[in-house]
Amino acid sequence: MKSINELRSMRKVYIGGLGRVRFQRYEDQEYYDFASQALLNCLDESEMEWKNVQAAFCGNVYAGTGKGHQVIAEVGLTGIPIINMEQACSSSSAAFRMAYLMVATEIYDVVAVLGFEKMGRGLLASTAFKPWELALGFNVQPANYAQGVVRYMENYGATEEDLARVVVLERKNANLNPYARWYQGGEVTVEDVIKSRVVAAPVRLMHAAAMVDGAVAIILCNGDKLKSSISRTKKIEVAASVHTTGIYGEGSVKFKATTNLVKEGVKQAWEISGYGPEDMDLIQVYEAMAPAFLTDIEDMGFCQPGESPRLLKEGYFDIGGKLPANTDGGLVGCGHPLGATGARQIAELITQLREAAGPRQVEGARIGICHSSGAGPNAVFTILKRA
Amino acid sequence: MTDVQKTIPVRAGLWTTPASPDEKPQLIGSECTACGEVFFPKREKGVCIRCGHRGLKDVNLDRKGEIHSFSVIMQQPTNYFLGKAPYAYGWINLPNVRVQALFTGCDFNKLHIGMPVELVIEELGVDEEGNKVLAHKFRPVQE
Repeated sequence: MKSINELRSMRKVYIGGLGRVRFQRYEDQEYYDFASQALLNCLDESEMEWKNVQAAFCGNVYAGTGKGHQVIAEVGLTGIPIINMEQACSSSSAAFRMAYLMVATEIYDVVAVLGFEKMGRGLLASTAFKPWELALGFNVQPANYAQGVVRYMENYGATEEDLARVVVLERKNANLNPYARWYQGGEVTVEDVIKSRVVAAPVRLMHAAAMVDGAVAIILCNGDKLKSSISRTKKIEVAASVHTTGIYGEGSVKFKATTNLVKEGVKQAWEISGYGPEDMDLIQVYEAMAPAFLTDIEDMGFCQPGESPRLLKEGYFDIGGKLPANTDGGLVGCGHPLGATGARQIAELITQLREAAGPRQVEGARIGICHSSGAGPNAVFTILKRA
Repeated sequence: MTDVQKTIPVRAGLWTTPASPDEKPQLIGSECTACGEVFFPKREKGVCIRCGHRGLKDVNLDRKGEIHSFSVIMQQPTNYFLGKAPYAYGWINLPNVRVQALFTGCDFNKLHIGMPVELVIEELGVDEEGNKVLAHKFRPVQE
């Protein structure tokens, strides 16, 4: 296994290009239609052709056999390895990591990452649960989030208003993001959120990320291969890419662990990159249900446990605040096409670091971190910085 | 209608079936003979996922504990669910192990962290084949 120093001395990997389609329902398109469009957008933006790409890692959950192949077949058949990856909601950030490692270890020079999802209509029965757990009704995602939320509210006195403020922030940011489900969707108030119906107490309808379709494509390459002017003048380097899974002990009564996959993963990301929480200009945290925004920020070490509601209220996480968070609207504002979400989070870091975020631009953004989470459990961390 | 309605557990081996009416059912867990960690449901492969030891023994778990977390679900989830919304489930701390279960026998608005609860085996619903399906649930301790 490579030591931290060896990981740091691997070849540097840069963002060659980014392409996507807006997150929304594509009623009259199949996944390969809109995902191949994202890929073409990425090639155009990179000023590359498909024949330049030497491998592809594709993140998706529901599409089935040979899904990445189906998307890429719309763009080219060049015989390269196409790898389909299912890591639940972190599928495409995990795919990003594999692409990164392939370039960093000099196996390939130019690798594409795809994240895409056409969401089902109606309620989805997760295969992450056993049949008897489904019979008992234990597969309700808002209810599983709620287990943590009730404890957070009890332990730190967080209120309904505190939870609602996350939605207010994310809808405000999404309002400015042309790729978001809630782009120009108007701003919402704390009252609007508290008036929305309870789905799984204390989680409400407006806390939940909307089910939408979407796709994101990113090209990673070594420095010599950068083609487009923006990728060369606003060079973005991958400073760390980490993937952790479940660590025994969080739910143990007799032997309770002090760490978990998020705390452990973010620690590795700081070690490899040589940076710490105080160095970040912006962050992307994971919240399929809005209340998780508060706990994720705390687990990642950006403030003390119980402190995030006050900071949120004070504007600390606003664009223009001390530590802008989920500047594109996060899952709540962008919507959540599972396999595309991880790459979408990374795409916002890229956009901000290129100073291309328009009205939601974080001034002077040079470095940021993104956390994607996925059932399994999985946690994937990506640190990008301006080179 | 089927001729005979069978009564079956939601999953075999989750709880004991008492021989006499004086005894009460208990959940069946696994205990590691090396490190002492306790699991529920019992680990079918006999592997301790805490220390890696291969050698677990069945243990009957305490019937009483307290609520660690909970949620009340207002809408019917997928049709795999055999019960009816609104329903509530959460995690219960027994003395040695945290278990997930449905709640019953109370106004769900009264559920709270730390609430003393005890095990009951109760009907969950009727499955596709017309069987009456039982589940483990926890209700407020009745003194």
